[in-house]
Amino acid sequence: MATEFKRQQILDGIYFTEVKNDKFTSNRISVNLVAPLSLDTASAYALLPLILKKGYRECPDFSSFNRALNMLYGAAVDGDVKTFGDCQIITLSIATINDKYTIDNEEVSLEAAKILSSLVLDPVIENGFFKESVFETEKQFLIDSIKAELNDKGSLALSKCKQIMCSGEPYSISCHGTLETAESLSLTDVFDHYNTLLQTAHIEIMFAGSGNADAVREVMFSSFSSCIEREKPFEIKTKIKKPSDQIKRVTERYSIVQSKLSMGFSVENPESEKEKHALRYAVALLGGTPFSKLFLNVREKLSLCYYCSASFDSIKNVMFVNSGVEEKNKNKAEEEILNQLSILKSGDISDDEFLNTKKLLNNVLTSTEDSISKLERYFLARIFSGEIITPEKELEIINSLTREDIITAANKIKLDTVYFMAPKEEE
Amino acid sequence: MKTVKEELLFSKVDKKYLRIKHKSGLTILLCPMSEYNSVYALFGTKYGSINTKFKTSADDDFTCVPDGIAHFLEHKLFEGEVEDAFVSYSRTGANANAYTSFDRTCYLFSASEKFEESLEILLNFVTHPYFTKETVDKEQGIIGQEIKMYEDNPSWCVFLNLLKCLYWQHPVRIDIAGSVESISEITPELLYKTYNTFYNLNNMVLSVAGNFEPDSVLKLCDKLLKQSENVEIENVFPDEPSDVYLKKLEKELDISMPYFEIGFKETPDKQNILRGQLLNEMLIEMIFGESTDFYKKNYDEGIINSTFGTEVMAGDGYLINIFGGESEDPEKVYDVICEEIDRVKKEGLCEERFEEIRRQFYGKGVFSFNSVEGIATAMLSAHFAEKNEFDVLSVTEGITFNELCERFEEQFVSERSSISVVVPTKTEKGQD
Repeated sequence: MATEFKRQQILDGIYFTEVKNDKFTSNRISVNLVAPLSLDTASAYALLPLILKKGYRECPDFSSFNRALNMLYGAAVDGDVKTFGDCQIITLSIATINDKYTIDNEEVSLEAAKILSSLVLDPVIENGFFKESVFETEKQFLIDSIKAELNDKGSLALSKCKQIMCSGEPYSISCHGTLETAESLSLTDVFDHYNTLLQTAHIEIMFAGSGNADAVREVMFSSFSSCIEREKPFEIKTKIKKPSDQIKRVTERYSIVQSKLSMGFSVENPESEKEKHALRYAVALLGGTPFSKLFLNVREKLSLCYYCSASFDSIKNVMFVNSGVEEKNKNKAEEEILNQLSILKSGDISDDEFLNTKKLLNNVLTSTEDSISKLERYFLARIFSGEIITPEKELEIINSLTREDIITAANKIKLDTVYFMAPKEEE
Repeated sequence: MKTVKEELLFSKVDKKYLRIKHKSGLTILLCPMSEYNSVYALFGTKYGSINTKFKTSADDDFTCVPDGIAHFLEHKLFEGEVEDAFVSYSRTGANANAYTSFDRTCYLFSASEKFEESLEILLNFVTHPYFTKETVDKEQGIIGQEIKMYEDNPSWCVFLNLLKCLYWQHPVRIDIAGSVESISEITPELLYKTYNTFYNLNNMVLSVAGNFEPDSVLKLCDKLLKQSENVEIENVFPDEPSDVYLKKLEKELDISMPYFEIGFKETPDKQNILRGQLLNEMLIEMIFGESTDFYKKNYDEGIINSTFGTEVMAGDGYLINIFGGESEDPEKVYDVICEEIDRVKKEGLCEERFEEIRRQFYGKGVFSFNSVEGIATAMLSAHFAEKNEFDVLSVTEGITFNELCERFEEQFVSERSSISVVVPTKTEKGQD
């Protein structure tokens, strides 16, 4: 059963995309507001989904709101914020089962679409602003979430590495902003930012799964056209990371048992979609699979770590290698990671490695169509990157790549930053 | 022994599946879904970290094994005599993995092509153990780092400490991966002993969902699987008192806000474990879910926040209702939960809300049929827990309000509860 992909502009800078396949038993509708990532607005925008998902004008009470969702067969509302290159994406979503699986043939998707548009466009207002008590509670939660970035040392090490590597660029800003920007938020500012966001954001509405997408689009069109006046919408773009002249090295100490090594690499600007895929392929060969060079050597052969993997951000053109090691093995691990990268650059790639990585990439792309969330992520990422191709088309590109393409791509990768998180001295 | 095939149905979503008792002793569960691109296959044994003392009908004495051996065995099974299973899989493009939990070990792959080749690899490596002193020694370094990674993880630490509080003896209180010390006692001989006990095909299940032909699975099983003698495995779990071992455990880590987990220790269900688990989940949702006044009141007062969540954990000899999250004042969370339980015990559950909760769970059940992974995992869990069919939607429809009330009467006793907390490091030294 093929997945239907359809995208259309419904209003100025507002797009509706449907990724439909009737094999699924449910669907998810999301409204994604895309804005430039900036320290001036990051915390305010991060706070919005937390406030908005709590209720809307007609259903302001959180308990009653959740009871209504339960009656819609446990419709799940979510609100979150993430970064994408130099942009920030504010998302509100609702997931419901397909109408045909309801007990009394109810139109739950339509109801869900109405709720979602109300959450985004028709919030609970008190004295001209968001409800103050909700603002205060959620502001505190945002502050706590920023402080909680300390708790996951693996992802903390990675974001530290990003910050050092891309210091001064929007890319280095966290999706929550900083503790200072969150603490200084005021109700009036946040409400102003909400209005600006609705007027200027690039808006992507997505319907993924099974059900009546046409009816959902109609609801979205009529609510967005009657509720907001659009100004010139923001154009999505990300500045590509330029290589640095000197390698930056930072070590920090925390009360931890296991050290974390996070290495950032810049990548020369790929000129075509094909080159971009060659880079993705090269990074998978280096450290994206359980038979990659990093896994087989740093973990299996030298037994230095439990994980050592490479990831590629094709929007910013940067690669990261992450590992958890003993402090005494840090240099050994770093040397071996760089050694494996230069082996890759020199073209020492076996037939098996080359073919098998291709097979795994094929498998990942083909199974994208078997999951609503993977489909949604895939198409949103393609839309935001400005190059919309289907998983099948992407497969064709990957399968056309040669070993030379991969070696050329690998030679564009250059070490930029080494961040090391180590235990405090007493251990 | 002959292969016996039955056709079953997930009635509400009209999905057929097959349950086959293969002549080798293996149970095979197959849900063909031709509209999907990929296949998800799980080969699992009912053997996890809690099976620490056991014997078969062929043994004279019980064997006691070091903590973490089930997980260690999972790692080691990948390393065949000829090559690593990951290397074999790399030729088919399958995405392979494995996991060990308290009560099971599963080997899995997802594939969108070359399904039969991948299945052959799976069936082969899991049924051909190869352990030597050298390979065992090498693995100790890797697993040692895995254990250390978890020592810095507040969610894992707070969960494990809760189990340590609730249970005196039951091995559910032991870390699945064991400790650096306990895994150093593991030898090839011990690995073979446990392997030969629990990787008997009669104790295992193969669960497959997605785009494949059921006959191809049967043919491969006929070709690759030798008949296992159906020996009975006897697991010994020490007598576990109904009260808790400790009321509270606290640990310090380098984090920003305290993590807590509060658990109520319940009498485990002897049968219908999944149904029991579902009943508990519905009860918790009815009393503490986001649609309750309890949630709203404590959320507005800042006692709980969006991290507040609940879980019901059930298995061989344990059943726990768990509340967890992050809070500046975990003790206060504990108090408000106990107060709410007291109130509902006095006033009774609200019947008006029952239909709403049942619908919510019905919807959740429908969601679970969205993925090949979800269906394969659900079939396997149902088999290990119930040994019969488990159609979550029909079960949800059949639950009554009275049943919930009766269950609530017996459960949630504050004397049988504990709290585990991980707090931010207070001093420079910090670690315990």
